Amino acid sequence: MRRYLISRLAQTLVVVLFVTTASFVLVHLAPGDPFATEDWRVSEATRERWRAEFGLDQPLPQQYVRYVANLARGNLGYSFSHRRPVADAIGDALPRTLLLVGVGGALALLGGVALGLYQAVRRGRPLERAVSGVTLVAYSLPDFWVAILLLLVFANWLPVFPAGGVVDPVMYDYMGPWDRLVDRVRHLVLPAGTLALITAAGVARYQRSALLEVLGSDFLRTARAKGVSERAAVLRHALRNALLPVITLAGLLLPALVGGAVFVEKVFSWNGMGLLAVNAIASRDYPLVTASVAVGGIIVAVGSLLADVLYAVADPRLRDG
Amino acid sequence: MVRQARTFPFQNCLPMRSLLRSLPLAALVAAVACNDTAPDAADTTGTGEATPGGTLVIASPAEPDMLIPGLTQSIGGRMATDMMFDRLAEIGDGLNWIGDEGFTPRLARRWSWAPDSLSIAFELDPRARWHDGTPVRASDVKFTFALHKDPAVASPIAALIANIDSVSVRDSLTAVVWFAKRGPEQFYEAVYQAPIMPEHVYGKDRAGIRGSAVARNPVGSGRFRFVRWDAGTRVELVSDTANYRGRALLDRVVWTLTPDPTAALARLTAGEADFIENVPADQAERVDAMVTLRVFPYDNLQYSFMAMNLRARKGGAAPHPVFGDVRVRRAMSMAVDRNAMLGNVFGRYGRRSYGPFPRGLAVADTTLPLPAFDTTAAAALLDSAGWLRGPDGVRRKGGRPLAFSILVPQASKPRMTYAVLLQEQFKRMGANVELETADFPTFLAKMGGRDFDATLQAFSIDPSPSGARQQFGSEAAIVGGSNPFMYANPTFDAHLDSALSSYQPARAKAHMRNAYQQLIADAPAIWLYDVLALAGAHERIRMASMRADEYWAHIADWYIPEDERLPRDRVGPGTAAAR
Repeated sequence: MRRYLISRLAQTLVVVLFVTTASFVLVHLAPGDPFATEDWRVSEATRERWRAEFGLDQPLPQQYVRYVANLARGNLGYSFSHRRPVADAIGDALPRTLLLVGVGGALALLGGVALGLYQAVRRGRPLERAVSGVTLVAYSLPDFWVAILLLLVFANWLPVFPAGGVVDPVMYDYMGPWDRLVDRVRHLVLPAGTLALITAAGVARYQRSALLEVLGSDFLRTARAKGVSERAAVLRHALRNALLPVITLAGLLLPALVGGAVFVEKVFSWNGMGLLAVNAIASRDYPLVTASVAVGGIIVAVGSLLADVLYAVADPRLRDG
Repeated sequence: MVRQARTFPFQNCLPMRSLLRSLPLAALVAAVACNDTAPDAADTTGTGEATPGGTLVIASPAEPDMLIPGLTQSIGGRMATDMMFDRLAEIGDGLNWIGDEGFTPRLARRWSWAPDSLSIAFELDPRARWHDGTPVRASDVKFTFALHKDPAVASPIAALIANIDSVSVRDSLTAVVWFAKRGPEQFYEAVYQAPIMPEHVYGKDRAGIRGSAVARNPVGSGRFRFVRWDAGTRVELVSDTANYRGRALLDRVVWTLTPDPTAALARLTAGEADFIENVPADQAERVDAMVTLRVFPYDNLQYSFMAMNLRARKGGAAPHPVFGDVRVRRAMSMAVDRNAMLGNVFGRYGRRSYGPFPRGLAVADTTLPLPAFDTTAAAALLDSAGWLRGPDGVRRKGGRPLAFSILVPQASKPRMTYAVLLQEQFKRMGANVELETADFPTFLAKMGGRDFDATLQAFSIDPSPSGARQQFGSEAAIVGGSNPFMYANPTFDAHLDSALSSYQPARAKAHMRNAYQQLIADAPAIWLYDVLALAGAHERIRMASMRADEYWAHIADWYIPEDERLPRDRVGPGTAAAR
């Protein structure tokens, strides 16, 4: 297991290096200039000076070598658009995204597994068919559409939750500890709920299909013949076996959640990595784009690694062999 | 008309409890959903007097790039710095830029012109203090101009204050601004572009000033002072209660940064914000129908047009194969129904363009004749230019089809819609038109490289018409210049020069009329609309006038009547409770 982990970490490092290099090259080759502006007052000479200030007048290979050298020293560079170190900008945004993706992902997995379980056990009943229809619709909906719908319904028409932000920007500092907690949760409900809604539907479909396959297995028939109740047979034996594909899915889910968070963060003004990366691309903030892609790559790689570990934990054959 | 206050049925969300009762997490969700800071309903029975207090919450998409006046290029940065930093004198609401007429004292309580008009002595108000308590001194004025003129700083306003030769300190409260040459804009140049900055705060590292700590922690002299800037979340200012000009009527101004327009609007309608500067036109009627909100257009200095590239694409010196001919350009101007497009895009809120200027400009002339919508005359003009309809309906000249593309930034919804409408109308005239959409950096790159046939532009200009020299002047029609359309006409240049050297507003306006008339006749563009500035505000906010160049110029005089204040008006570092 230890050797396996070391090997996977090495693979992760290579992947991140590759992704960082690719994003560095691509973003520099994209048309546009970080210092281009519609402001007619800014002369070409001024823009040239700004480019030189950040070393953008150097040849691309030279810029890349300097970037990698800085990266090796733990320096992610300086953001043109935020006018501060990239590490600071990411340091602000990353915890927010991890919170959003963590809560959204956990809700999606719990809800998806529960729904899938219900669908498999109550297969063919009218309510199950209705639930299947709803999950299919939810699965098909675009992320941003769901986000805007929830925003309009729960922040506008029925103003029960805030329209955006991580906390109340005006009142938060003047709240007591309990009110602060409530405020944070209130702000988390819609964005995390959106992520959970669009992801849980997929998990439920996988879970249903895996359970249906397991429910007809010989070992379950034997368990029932030995007098194990149906409830125990499903929850203790069938569900554990049927979780394996869902664990694989959970690993793959992380990139989808991180991707979905981009739209969710924009709609709900949740200033996380997604919003940071989108704005960085829009302003051609090269160091920030490259660092955001690297961080995204690390999150995905870690998620995938975590899924492998969980898989081994859940399946004794893999753990022992 | 007085509107009656109304409470939203779900204002404090208790009815949701019954809906959630059957759900396992009902209690938690109800507790979470129903916080005790929900705004109260507005009470319009109050006296409405202007007493200090209250928090103005602005939902804004614009995060500042930095908070240094003159160097910031973002609208968010300009707003905040203009409120924190005073100029020597402030331009009047009429935006006169000639001489010093209409300007009111700010940091300078009076000024005097030298007999030869080559210098102006500004006498500073001895009561003026920086927000850290240090007195404002003439050396700060000298420092400010030296900073912006320092090549190492690469200030975007350096070119605009090029006529200022130097600033000398006559005594601690008198700064003398010296000019290279006389001109009607001298006073405007000295006071408008560069709010004054404290030397003891910003003078330590000029070259690295943009990345310094003070770029995010400004110290100014205005009626608001800086409290905090949480990146991506909020910017907060508070009234400077000891200000030499008197405290702002509001306690606090908070910008909640909301990048998505739908979310910004939702914040306003949900009562989380009091003001947004841009209500989407298609939502305006709905918002205006809400009794606690109102929507109103205000003047600004932005106008939009479809510009045509007069030279070959990608920097060629040859005339553009389509738009090089003035007859084609005029025909295109006559082929489009500008009024109908305005209604289609902006509904009843649209403001049509009167020419190459926004109506808020002091020299704007709304009587200039623009090419009338006349497809028959447009077709005849194209025929006379040799562009004849082929069997497929597309016009051709010498075998070349009448084809071109319109470059448009995809982030601008009005411009995207206009592009589609223009395409349709040009097609009817026998032109094969493609839309070339691009994200903003690509759009700017294509503009800079003159890699376009036609493009939809939205220009934002200063109160002085001198910007027309950069936008349409012959000198700027060079590679890398600010006139990428390559329009050049010495007659236009001459009229513009006459206007900009005139000391009498009426004469300047007459010369500008001639310049604009020449521009309209040469038709390098189709003048489409004044950019819609449609603000949405809660009724409890009492606003002063909104100046066309900076709607926020008088925010310090906005107020919230005491009996219409919400819980959020009673907290914060500037509130009565905190004092």
